[in-house]
This record gives sequence, C-alpha cells and structure tokens, in this order.
Amino acid sequence: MYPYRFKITLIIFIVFFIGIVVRLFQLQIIESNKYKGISQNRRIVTYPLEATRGTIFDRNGKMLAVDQHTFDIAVQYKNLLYCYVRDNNAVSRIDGMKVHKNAKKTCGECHENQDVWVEKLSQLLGIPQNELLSHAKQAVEKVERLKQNVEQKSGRATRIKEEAGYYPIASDVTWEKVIQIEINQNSYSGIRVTPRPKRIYPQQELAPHILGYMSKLNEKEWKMYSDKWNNFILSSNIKGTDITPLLYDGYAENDYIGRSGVELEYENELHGERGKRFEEITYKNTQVEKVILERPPVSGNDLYLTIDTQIQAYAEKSLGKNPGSIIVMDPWTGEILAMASYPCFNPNDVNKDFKKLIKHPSKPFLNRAIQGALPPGSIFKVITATAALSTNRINTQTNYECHGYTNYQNIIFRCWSEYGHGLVAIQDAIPYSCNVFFLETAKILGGDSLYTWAKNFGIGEKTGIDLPHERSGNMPKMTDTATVMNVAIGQGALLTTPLQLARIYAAVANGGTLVQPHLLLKLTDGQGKIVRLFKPEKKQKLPIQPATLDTLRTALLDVVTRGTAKNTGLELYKVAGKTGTAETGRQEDNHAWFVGYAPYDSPQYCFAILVEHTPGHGAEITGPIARELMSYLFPELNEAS
Amino acid sequence: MKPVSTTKTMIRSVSPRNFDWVLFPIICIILTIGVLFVWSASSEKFLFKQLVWIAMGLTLFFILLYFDYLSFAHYAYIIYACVLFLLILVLGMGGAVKGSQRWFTIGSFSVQPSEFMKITLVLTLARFLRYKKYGIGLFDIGVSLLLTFIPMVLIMKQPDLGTALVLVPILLSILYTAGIRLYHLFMLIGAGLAISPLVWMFMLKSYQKMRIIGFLWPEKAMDWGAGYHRLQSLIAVGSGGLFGTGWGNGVQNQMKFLPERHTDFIFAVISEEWGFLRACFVLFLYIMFLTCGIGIARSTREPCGRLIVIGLVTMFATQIVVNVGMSLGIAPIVGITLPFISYGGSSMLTSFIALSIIFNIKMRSKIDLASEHHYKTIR
Ligand SMILES: [Zn+2]
Repeated sequence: MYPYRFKITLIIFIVFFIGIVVRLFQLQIIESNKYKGISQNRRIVTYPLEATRGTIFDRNGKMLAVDQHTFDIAVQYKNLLYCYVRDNNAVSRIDGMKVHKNAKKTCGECHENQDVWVEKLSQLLGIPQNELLSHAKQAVEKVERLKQNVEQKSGRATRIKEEAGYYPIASDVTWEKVIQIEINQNSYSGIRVTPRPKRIYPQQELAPHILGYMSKLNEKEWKMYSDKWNNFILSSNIKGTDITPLLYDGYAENDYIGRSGVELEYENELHGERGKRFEEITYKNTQVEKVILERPPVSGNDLYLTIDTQIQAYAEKSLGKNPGSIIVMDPWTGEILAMASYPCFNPNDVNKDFKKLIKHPSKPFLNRAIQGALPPGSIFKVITATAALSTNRINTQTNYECHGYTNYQNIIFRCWSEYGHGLVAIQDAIPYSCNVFFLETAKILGGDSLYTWAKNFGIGEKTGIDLPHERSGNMPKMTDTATVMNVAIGQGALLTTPLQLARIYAAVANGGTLVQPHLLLKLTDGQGKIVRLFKPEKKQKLPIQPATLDTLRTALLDVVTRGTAKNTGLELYKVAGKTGTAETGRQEDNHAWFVGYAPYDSPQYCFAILVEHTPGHGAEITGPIARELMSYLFPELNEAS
Repeated sequence: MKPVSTTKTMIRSVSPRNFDWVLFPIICIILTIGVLFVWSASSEKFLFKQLVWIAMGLTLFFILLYFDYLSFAHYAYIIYACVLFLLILVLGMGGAVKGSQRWFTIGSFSVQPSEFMKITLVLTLARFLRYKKYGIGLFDIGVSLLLTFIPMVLIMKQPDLGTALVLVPILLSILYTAGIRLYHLFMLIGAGLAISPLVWMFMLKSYQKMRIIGFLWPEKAMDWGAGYHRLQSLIAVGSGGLFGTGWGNGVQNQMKFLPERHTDFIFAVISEEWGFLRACFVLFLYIMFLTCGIGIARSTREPCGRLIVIGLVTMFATQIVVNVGMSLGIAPIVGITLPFISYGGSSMLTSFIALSIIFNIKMRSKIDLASEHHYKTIR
C-alpha cells in the first residue's frame, strides 16, 4: 500500500492550516488597527446613501407628493481648515494647524490651492465668499473641539475620523450647477456632491390634510427611534442568510418623518431603506483608497390613493373659504374620492411657517372631516327613523300632530317651524325635518334601541379610515326619556364626524352595508409590482328591512324635491339627502350640514358637507355648496338648466 | 484457522484500552470552547439547546461504538440508496427553510439528509474501493465519480453548495489513499477544473454565483448580504488583536453586527473575543485532532476501515478549513459549520457519528485480518 500517502495527506492539511494562521496573523496583528478603527494610516469609514421616499399618487396616477433630488455641496475638511487658518491666523490656537503647516512644506501636491474652492463655489453658486467661509468656520470649530477632547483624553496628538470627512457648505443646489462640478471634477477637487431628497407636493394646497406633511426628527425622537432599533437588533435572533433587518439602519439624525395624513400613516411603507457605503481611507492624503462595499439604497413603496385629484379640486372649490369639510365617497366600496377641509395649509411651506400655522386660531392642521366631532342635528333623524321602523314602534301609517312644539315632563321641545307641520307621518317628517315627529317617536322608542341602532351605524366609534388621529365622536348612554328625545333629533351630548355621517348615508344608498372608508388603493414597489392592496377589515351588513330602506330613500329624495332642500337646484342632479342644522347654543352660531348621495336611483357618489360656525341654517348654507359640487360631478346634467 | 464463533466474539468485544484517550480529551476541550462561544454569541436558550444536542451526540457516540463498523460498511450500499432516496424526497417535498429545501420534518425533528450523505458517501466509497490492492483502474474511478456526483448534484440543487463541495475532497482523499495512480489523480483534478465552468453555468443558482463573485471581487459584489457578512466578519476578527476583547465582550459579536454568529461565523467570534493567540490554540486543537485521525488510519490494517477513517478525517478537515476561511475572508461564504463548535443539531449529530466511527475503527484495529469471518462479514 502507500503509507507515505497518509503523510502527504496530513501535510496538505497542515499547509492549509498554516495558510489560515498566516491570514489570522495578517488580520489580527498587522491590520488590527484598521479594523479597530484606531489606525493612523488607514481606516474604514461608512457613508449613508439616501433612499428616495415613495411617491404618492392619486387613483389616476397623478402625482401628489414626490421626492425631488436636490444636492448638497460638501468640501473636504483639510480645505476648510486651510481657509480657517488663513483667515484666523494670528488668533488661532488650534493644534491641528501645526500639523498642516509642517505638511505644507513636505507635500505641496495635495496642499496646493486649498483656498481656490471658495472663489470657485462662490462664482458657481452665486453665494458670497464670506457666507461660504462662515459655514466652513462652524464646521472647523466643531471638529477641532472634538479633536481637542480626544487628544486631551489620549494625551497625544492624534487624528480623528472627522478630519477625513466632508462638510456641507451649501444645500439645495440645482442640477445645472451640480453638472458643472461633475464635468470639471479636476478643477473642483476636494468637493463632493451628495444628492438629498426633498419632499415636494406638486399640487400645492390640494388635499394637505390627506397627504399630511413631514418634518425633521428632533433629538429626543431620534434617540427613541435608535433605541427602539437597537433593542430590536439585540432581541432578534437573526437566522440564516436573511439579514435584511440587520441592514436596515432605521432613522438617522435629521431625517424627515411623516407627521400627519398618509405621510404618517404609511411612513413605514414610504420611508425606504438608506444604503451604506464602506470606504477604506488613507490618512496620509485623506483620499479614498477603495470602496469596500456598497449597499444601494432601497426606495420606499409608491402609494396610490383612492383620491381623484379632479374631484378633490371640485370639493375644495365648492367649499371655498367656509370653515368646514366636504367628503365625497364611493358608497359601494368606501373609497374616499375627495376629502376637503378648510382652513388648510400648503405642505410645501409647512417647515417654513410651522410656528405660525400651529398657533393660528383657525387650526389649519385640523382635518375637520375626521377630527371635527360635532352634533349632527337633523342628519341623525335617519337613524332614529331606522330604529323606530325596524323595531316596529312606528310604521308608515303612524302620524303625529306638530303644533310647533311638544313637551315632556314640563320640558318644552320646539320644532324648527314655530307654526307647526300639522299631521305628519315618516314620509313627511324626514323631508320637512319635523322635530316633533321624532320627539314623539323617541318617547315610545326608548333609549336602548336607539343606542343599539346608533352603534350599529358606527356612531361613537372610529370608522377605521387609514388616517392618523381620527376622532370617534360620542354616543351618549341615555337613561331618561328627555335625553333620548334630545339625541333623537341629533342634539345633546351626541357628537359625530362628517365621515361617520357620510358612511351612514352610504349604507342607505347601497342597501344597508356599512363600508370601510379608506384612502389606500395600492402600494407598489420600485418595479411597479403591487405590494399591498386595500383589504377591508370590517364591512358589515346591517339588519335593515328592504321596506325600511325604501321608505328612507323616498323620504331623502323628497327632501330635495319638496322638503327642506327644495329650490336649491339639486333635483336636477338626482340628489337624495338630508339637511341639518346643529345648534351650538349661541345665537347665530350653527353648524350647517348636508349629507346624501346621487344619483338617487343608482348611487355613484355619497357626500357629506359641513359648514361650521355659520349664522345660517342647513340648506341655505350647504345647498349652494352642494349644487356647485354636483354641477362639477355631473357636468352632463348642467345643460338642462 | 480459528473457529468462526471465537473470532466473532473477539471482533464483537471492544476493549476500553483501545479507546483513544488522546483524541477524546481533545474533542472534549473543543466542545467546551464551542459551548462557551455559542453562549457568548447567542443566549442561554441556545446554550441549553446546544448542551442537549451534545448530550444526544455523546449518547449516540457510545451506542454506535457497540456495533462493529464493518456491519455499517456491510450495509453501505443500502444506506447509500436510502439517503439518496431521502435527498430526492427532500427536493420534492421538503419544507422551505430560508428559501432552500435542505430539511424535512418527521414529527418535531428536522432532518437534513445532506449532512448524513457525507458519512454515507465515505462508507460507500470505502466499501467499494477496499480491496483494490493492485491499483485502481479507470473503471473504479468511474464508479467512484458516479457515486459522488449523483448525491452532489442533488445536494447542490437543494441548494446547499457547502455540503456539496465537501464531497469532492472526500472522494479525492479516499481515491488517493486507496492507491490511485498519481497521473490519474492529476488528470481527474484537471478534468474537474475544466468542467467547473459548466457547473458554474448550469448548476449554480444566481445567488450562489453572487456569493462566489462576492468572494473573488468583493467590491463588485451585487449580493450585498455576502459582502456584508465578509466585511463584518473581518472587522470582528481584526478587532480581536493579539489578546482579544475578552469573552462576552466582542463589540461585533455583542452588538449583533455579525450575522450567523453562533453557527457559521462562530470562529470570528472566537477570534474577536479571544484574540490571535487563543484562536491559534483552537486551530492547534483541530490539527491535533486531524493528526490523531490520520494516525488511526495509518495504524488500521483493515483496508475498509482505513479508507473510512481517511474519508471522515478529510470531511472534518474540509469543514474546518472552509469554515475558518469563511470567517477570515479567504473562502467563499457557502454555509459550512465548524465541527463540534458551531450551534446546530444536524451538524453536531453528524460530527459525533463520524467521530464514533473513527473510534470504532481504532478500537477494532487489532483484529485478525486473516480471519475467515472478516471476509464473510464484508461479502
Ligand atoms: Zn314639526
């Protein structure tokens, strides 16, 4: 046999092991300082690569929010230091200076023309030289302080990593100027251009409450995020080759984050992942030796909203300067087509005007469609009617005599018509919005079934729309009949948001299904592949008899043809709906409502119009607004008028 | 000639005197170091699990000592067929773990047939080449190649590049020890290098290619994951310096920058926390282990046994070299565990089975080769 072959096999193994030990020696002994990050010659530094935030589109692909690339211009530290030393020569007591003065003699090549950048950049950017130099001064003083600290601690002259960096001198520089720098790289040595995404809202003041705005993380928040991130890393046991969570750096200081609207709601989807570049640098000339590794940034997902920019613009135009809101929703799916709220703001200017906006008494940041909880007034009567009809307390034959008021235990409840409506049944009570009819109904209905039905319709609960800070309103518990009567006509402690009411009328329009209002149409990745579609969490069929629905629909149509909204011209657009006036208790200060859907025979849009704090009443205020909105939504019907 | 029955009892009996009292302590020290660093790199939960695996491994180790290794060799072809069948089964219906199908589950146990294929191949090749005293012909080489490449292709398809590549040195070392002519060996290696581009083109999945590119040209790496592994591992090893940061104090390890710390990259943790000198000590333990292994092979006169030992020792050596090389950035990241140290059940059990067979052979190496029984058992 071949006994020597065993020896040779062992020798081959040993050769491999020697190779390993040599490599280990190289890494742990020779290059150790490089990896420890304390080397004087070479060090590994990392740079973040900014990720583009996802674009927000409307349902037709029109851009609502997009990251625009602007550029920062940063200058190498040694050049900044040179100018600083030159300008502050006599008074400077910086230790680093000495090093550089010595270096100048030996290394003319890289210390030549170190102040040329000031002149060049000043010319190119149109910024005065002393402004550039003042930025430089700030950066230099910060780094030198840091360096002094480090040197004090270590007790010897040392170079710190910050000395190899680049420091921003100008920001928001345009493409054209950046191209100049890129083309003439040689004459702009020591200058680095870094793209920085900037959020732009091309539609300006359109739908600011839906889109929201962004602002910088403050120090406390950033610490919170990074702690959260570190905890996540420490608690996760990452298995296998899936190290994606490890690569994701979370947030960095000075990052912008969504603060309201969908920018906040979909922050995690839109944000994207910052990339990273590992570079090995040589200290001798602070040049980049080589790029060791680069992880490209991952853009955030694009967000498509159910909003139709056109309809949104109509809604905002119709609302005009009235404080209040308009919602236009698809009654079948719950897709929000428009959601206007006034007073509003321009998300492009938020960071500039933030202090002014946040303090403004008109509260421009408030999204009144979901955050304004107000008494619904007569709008609520549809629920009272449904409850009474469904529990068979009344039927279409039930009549009450209206003398302009009714009383209960010495409390007088008034109808809005002081002369009274005479003998009314449900078919007239809704169109004429007769309080007395519903007050009498409330007496026999009782608090429990009214409460149950209001809850069925989602009163007092959030609709679950994908927007932050939605209010739930209030559905009071009713123990005595007087309270029930008050709630039955939409007064008292009852509070609702416009969105809740729009959803109730959508249910009447679509045959009794309580839809889930939403703004998300789809999320797509960079390649346009769908990442997520809207999935309704709750969509419940209400136990309403078809006959009850028929009665309600006819009555709501009659509101427009012969009731409280007669002569507003809404008949033309086949609108069915209900007007409402909620009293605030103060004279000449009401909330005017109009909630409904159109066309009545095949509902296409469901809408809620609210004008807050107006001296006028229901239809006289909201009627013309509704008419304007309808004339935009159904332009083909305008001809006839 | 002795009566068969006497021979039988002689073969069956295992003398504790022949137990390898040098190799066993070495393994125990390696296991202890492994446990320490699995603990440092992960958590008490993993530590406990690892201890359970080791206990199971040791039990298996002693149980298997009782059986004559020749009976394993006797059933080698059947075992080979069974494991091959399992590999095909895994490809067909295996549960996908991290995008590959190495595992399938029986009850609550995950079984990784590719791990067992390594040992099975050693047994099969040893069985096939055991009596080629007068040189190995081209036919023998051909059959050996076939026996190796069929499971290799299946394992690569899983895809488990690391385990598949371990099979190649096993084949070469067994052929070499069995007495292949040198020019045949070099022709074989040359042919292997020649067809490797074909393997590259048709056999490897894109991410495997990326990992190899990432190793050869890190700056061009598209697979950020592999590059990141490598860089973080290098930083960990480099930060260790001469004396290390101290057990449980590795920045790269404790901050969890280093992926797969307790499995594939555990040597980087050892290097970071223990430093150059003690990392070399660990390597020294391993080379002692391999030297003892080859010593056993040399002193085994029974041909099947010596081929099995050399195959298993090569298996260990390849895993050690490739795993450590991965941590040091001089081998592609292919997912190979460090024997007796890395966390993991399949790897621990496989290592103990292999070790048990080596001990088994050592303890039975003094048997009478001329015995009639021997031929009977084998044939
Ligand atoms: Zn009345």
